[in-house]
Amino acid sequence: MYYIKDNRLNPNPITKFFVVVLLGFTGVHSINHYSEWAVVIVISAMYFINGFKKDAIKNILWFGVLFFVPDFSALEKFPIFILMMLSLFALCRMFYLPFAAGKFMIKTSDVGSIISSMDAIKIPKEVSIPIAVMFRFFPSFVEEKNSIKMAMRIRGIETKNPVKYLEYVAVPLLIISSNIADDISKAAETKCIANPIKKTRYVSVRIHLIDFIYAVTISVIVAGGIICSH
Amino acid sequence: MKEKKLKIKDLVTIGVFAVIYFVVTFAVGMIGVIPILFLIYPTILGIVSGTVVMLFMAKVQKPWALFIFGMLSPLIMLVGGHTYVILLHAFAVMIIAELIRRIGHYNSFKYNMLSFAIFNTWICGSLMQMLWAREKYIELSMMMGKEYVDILIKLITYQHMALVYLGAIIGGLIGANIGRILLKKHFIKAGIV
Repeated sequence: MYYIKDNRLNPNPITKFFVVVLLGFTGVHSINHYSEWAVVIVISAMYFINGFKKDAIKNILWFGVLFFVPDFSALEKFPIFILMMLSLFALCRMFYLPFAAGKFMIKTSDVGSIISSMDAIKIPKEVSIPIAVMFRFFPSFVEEKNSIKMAMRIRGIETKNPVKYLEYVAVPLLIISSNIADDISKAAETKCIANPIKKTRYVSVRIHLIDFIYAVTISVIVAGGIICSH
Repeated sequence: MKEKKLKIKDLVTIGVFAVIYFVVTFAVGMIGVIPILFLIYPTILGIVSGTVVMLFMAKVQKPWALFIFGMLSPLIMLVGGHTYVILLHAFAVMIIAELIRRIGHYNSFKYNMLSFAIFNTWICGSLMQMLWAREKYIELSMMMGKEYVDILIKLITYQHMALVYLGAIIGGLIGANIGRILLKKHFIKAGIV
């Protein structure tokens, strides 16, 4: 099993979430091109010091492609339909910054630290339990889906009709899922999840220097970018 | 009627169904590769996801369940690179859907169906954010040529958004009815509901 320890170089999930929301503003209000590059480089640097060297390089390359490729004038001559396809580029470019920050958040935080940081900022259990269950359930969902497909293949059920296909896959999947939901809640009840005391967690979330550096750098860049572009 | 509170079992059910709903949303979202199909995306999503949400509503007939369920997908999308617009939009939509469900005491099919139709419009938030970010989008599309931008400006308007909302509601109604048929055909027989 692979997980990341609570090390000093990895900001905690609260900080990462704050940065994602902050960069969400850049999707709507454009910021200066230089500041966009600065944000991308900061995120890559964060990947790098956490040991994700490949992701650091990929991040810069992707942004480079999105930044330079749509920029040739030959595009205007293409028919409108291809332009429609290409406009996906513009869309990706628009939401690249929040997307990159979100990807960084998902790649570098493990489930335990996300759950204990939800505890730390006192999110009510009505929200934190469903989120924790989502992490728990996602792998078994994929597994169940594959075994249903396998069962269909074994019995030779093949249909190209999407409506029929949906019924064949969705109905067993929903039945299995709602049974799993019952099982999970039984397991959780036996571990005293309803006990109204403070819970102890395997992973503790602390605020390190890196949290301040990450949050403040991004805030300054975004604020600067918005001011410079006006 | 006595007010019922959400228990752990219901919260777990919310989490499990949120995963299924999110996977369905994501799978249907693949048609967005051709951007123009985005406009009918809410309708298709409503038809496909109707069964999931109707089963969820049949299983958890308690206040605020639908609200929490509905807020989880926008939260994931926020992390996946959408803006805060989608969260605020979903918040407003979910409050309305929750209130409609409350009128029907959480177990009447008619009100659950209406509630789902409203619920289904949350996905329009991802288009609304394009509308609000219109200037930036057009600025970025400038290199695609003037002709293209002209078509875009004509296409992205509030009137067309109203049509998309209408499509979402109609899709929701169709999806809810498909859900009801499937519920009767399979789930009640299997003792799930």
